[in-house]
Amino acid sequence: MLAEVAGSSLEPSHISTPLRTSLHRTEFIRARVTGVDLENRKVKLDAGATGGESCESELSYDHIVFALGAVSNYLGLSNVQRLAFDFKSLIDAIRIRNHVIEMFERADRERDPEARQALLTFVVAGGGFAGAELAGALNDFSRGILADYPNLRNGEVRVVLVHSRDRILPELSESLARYAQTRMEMRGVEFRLNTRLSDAREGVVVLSDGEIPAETLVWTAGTAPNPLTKTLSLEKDKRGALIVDEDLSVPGYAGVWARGDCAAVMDAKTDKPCPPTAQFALREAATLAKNIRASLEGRPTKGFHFDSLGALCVVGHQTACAELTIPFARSKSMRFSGLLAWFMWRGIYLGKLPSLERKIRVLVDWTVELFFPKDIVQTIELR
Amino acid sequence: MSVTQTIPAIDTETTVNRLLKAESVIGLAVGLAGGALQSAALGTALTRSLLVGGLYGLAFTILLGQRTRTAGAGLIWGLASALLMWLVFPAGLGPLFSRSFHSMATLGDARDQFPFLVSYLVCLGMPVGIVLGARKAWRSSESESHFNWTRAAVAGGLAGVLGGAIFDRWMSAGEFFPLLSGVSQLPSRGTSLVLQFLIAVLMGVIFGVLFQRDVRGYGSCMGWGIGYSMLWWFLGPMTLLPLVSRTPLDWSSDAGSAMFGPLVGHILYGLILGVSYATIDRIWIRLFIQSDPLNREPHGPGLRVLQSLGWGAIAGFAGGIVSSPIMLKTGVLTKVAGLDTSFSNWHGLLVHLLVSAAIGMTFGLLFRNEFTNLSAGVAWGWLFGLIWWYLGPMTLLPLMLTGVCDWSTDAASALLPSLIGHLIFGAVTACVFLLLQNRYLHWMLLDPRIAAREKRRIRPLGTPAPALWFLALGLGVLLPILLG
Repeated sequence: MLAEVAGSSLEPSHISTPLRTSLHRTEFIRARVTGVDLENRKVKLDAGATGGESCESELSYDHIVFALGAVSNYLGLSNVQRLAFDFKSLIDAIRIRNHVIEMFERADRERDPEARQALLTFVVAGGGFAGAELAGALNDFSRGILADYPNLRNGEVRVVLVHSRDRILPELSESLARYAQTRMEMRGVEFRLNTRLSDAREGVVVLSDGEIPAETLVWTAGTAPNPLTKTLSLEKDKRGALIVDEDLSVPGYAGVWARGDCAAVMDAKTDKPCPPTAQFALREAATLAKNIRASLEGRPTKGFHFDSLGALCVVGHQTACAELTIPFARSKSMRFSGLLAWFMWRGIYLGKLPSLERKIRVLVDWTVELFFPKDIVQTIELR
Repeated sequence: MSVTQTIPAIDTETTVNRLLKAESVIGLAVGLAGGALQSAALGTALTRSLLVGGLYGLAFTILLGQRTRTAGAGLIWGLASALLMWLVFPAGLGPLFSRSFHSMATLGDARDQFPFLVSYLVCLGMPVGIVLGARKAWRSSESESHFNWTRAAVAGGLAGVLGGAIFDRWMSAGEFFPLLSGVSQLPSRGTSLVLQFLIAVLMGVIFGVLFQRDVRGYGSCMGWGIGYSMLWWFLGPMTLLPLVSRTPLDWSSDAGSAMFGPLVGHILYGLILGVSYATIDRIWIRLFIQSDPLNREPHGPGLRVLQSLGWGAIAGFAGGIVSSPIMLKTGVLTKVAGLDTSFSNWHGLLVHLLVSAAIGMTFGLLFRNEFTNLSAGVAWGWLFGLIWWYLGPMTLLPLMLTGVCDWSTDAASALLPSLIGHLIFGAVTACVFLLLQNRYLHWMLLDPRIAAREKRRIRPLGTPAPALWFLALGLGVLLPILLG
């Protein structure tokens, strides 16, 4: 749903739930983990305000779960890292949305056609789920708000998706990926396939086969486990993810567990690596919680196994792709596209939202969006 | 260069000629078949009927073939041309060459020729128009691309269900089943209700499939609803239902007079169907088309409605002033206001003008975007006046005053003068509305994006609107006179 926040379809606060409101039997501490002493079973915390004075403390533990998530991996492209937007968190989505509105305001006053073109060109690097959904949402948002900018023309807006392979959405079947690309092209998204992002300068995105004058670059092309994992003296794979046993425990240290994007989880039944998606991370959490309880009670732990239910991706207004696994025939899948897939996407994501209150808020946002234009108020940006 | 310029021109011409030939053959064949049917139904000489049918099919293909781009457009053009042919030949020139020669065609002559009107509409206009239109739509990828089968079936089906439920509930209160008229022996009340409802749903689905491309809003949906429901009256109670109930066909004016009540019922159902279809289609457009950010309008929803209401009120006020002498004489509007039929004081005139302004507001809501010039505006205005005549003095007024609808030919004859008043009211309202709309658009259209959007909203040239005006106004005015 981050893409919908970036595309101004949803209010940011409506899709995020404070942990305190849902974890009633848990002591919650908001702090930054600065280090973990695995030998003495202690976690070092800094609970100071962001950018303010530090407030360090220590917390001892019996069991620790590493669920640190991932950050963008810029593959060593330092200029890209400096100039591009991340697209990993709610704040990233808010920043992108505000930036797009800012670009339109500047373009509205800009008289130099080339400078204006660069202001109205939005490049998204990476054609996975995040990149494709973001490109679709940005395209809808930017072309939709044109009605409020009488000096700007539809032909001046460019949303370019750069992808290193010959097709987008490698997680989906080729037919669905081609469908998504065709529909996005019909709505105005440009594709630069088999092209790599090699560098970036102020106002210019450098590709392996040329340059694009653009003031906006969003990076969705790669992720890496949270940098905290580098400080841990634990075994890691080549991505830097913590290697775990089948039951999600970290080998060599009792009471240390890991799951999600920061862990290299292997399926206990198929012995294949589990993808770093929310679908798997949720099931890993459930298995891990049961295993901690089992170890506390001295019972044997269970290995993690989960068959993917499928994948869904929204690529534009009321258009989505869905590939769902057929129950009891896991090797086969059903493919849906267009309006039906979009309804499925919305239904499933609405169902997955925690708390009835959030569901109602999101439902109201989606209903309002049907009748009224997208909001172009620039919200406060958290730095 | 000259060679490369002329070769495509020759090719295009050849293709057009070839298509025209193919269409002419189809038009001729369907016309001949229609002529044979006409002969069987009326018992006229087969040779003469075949000649009339064949000539009609050929003439229609050559003169109107280019305009019949869809089955719906073909149907409306076919019905309008069949009506015109009847007005010119059997009703107009026919009596001049008859044995009892007299210089002018009289109402009695026209009544005698009523069976030919039915046969022209049902056997010639309808099949020739639909077949040629359907063929063109099938072959033309351009028109196919603008047609959405799901939207047509869903909007038409739901409109049929909604309209059918409303109509069934309304008519069943008086044990009246207009859509089943023509059946010699009606089944039980429950079965009649179900049958009428099913016919209403069928009419709705076919309406959506035929006219999705041609209708644009409430006004045109109501206009098409009137024309379409009149066809159903000729097709259902006058033709198919008697055939189903194994009674002989009777297309005489006396049979038509006996069916006048069901005709008004059909017209009102056409209006209900049009409004239902327009509502559901608008919801569809809002949810799936206008909600797309790529189609976003500079103005938010609501502004256009407010403008239409305002302009419609002023235009209706003006229409009320101009039509007040006739309306006063017939006492229609003042009766609605519950007042005496004379404007004994300023209070009565004020109520009359306020009622006119309120009706004018409905014109603004229904017919905005339908016209950009005076002639089209007057035509829609007349249609609006006709709708209000059927809806007002023919239906709502007696319903409010006596609690019973009087759809008899006598009542229609007595109310004919007020029809003229309604037509004048509609025309003046449309003209003033156009003036106000143009005044606004003159400065709004300075922005090319708004100009482009307005152009998309306004009804383009080439739709069968003129045929519909002729058909609906012609039959709507003619039938009460002819059958009265």
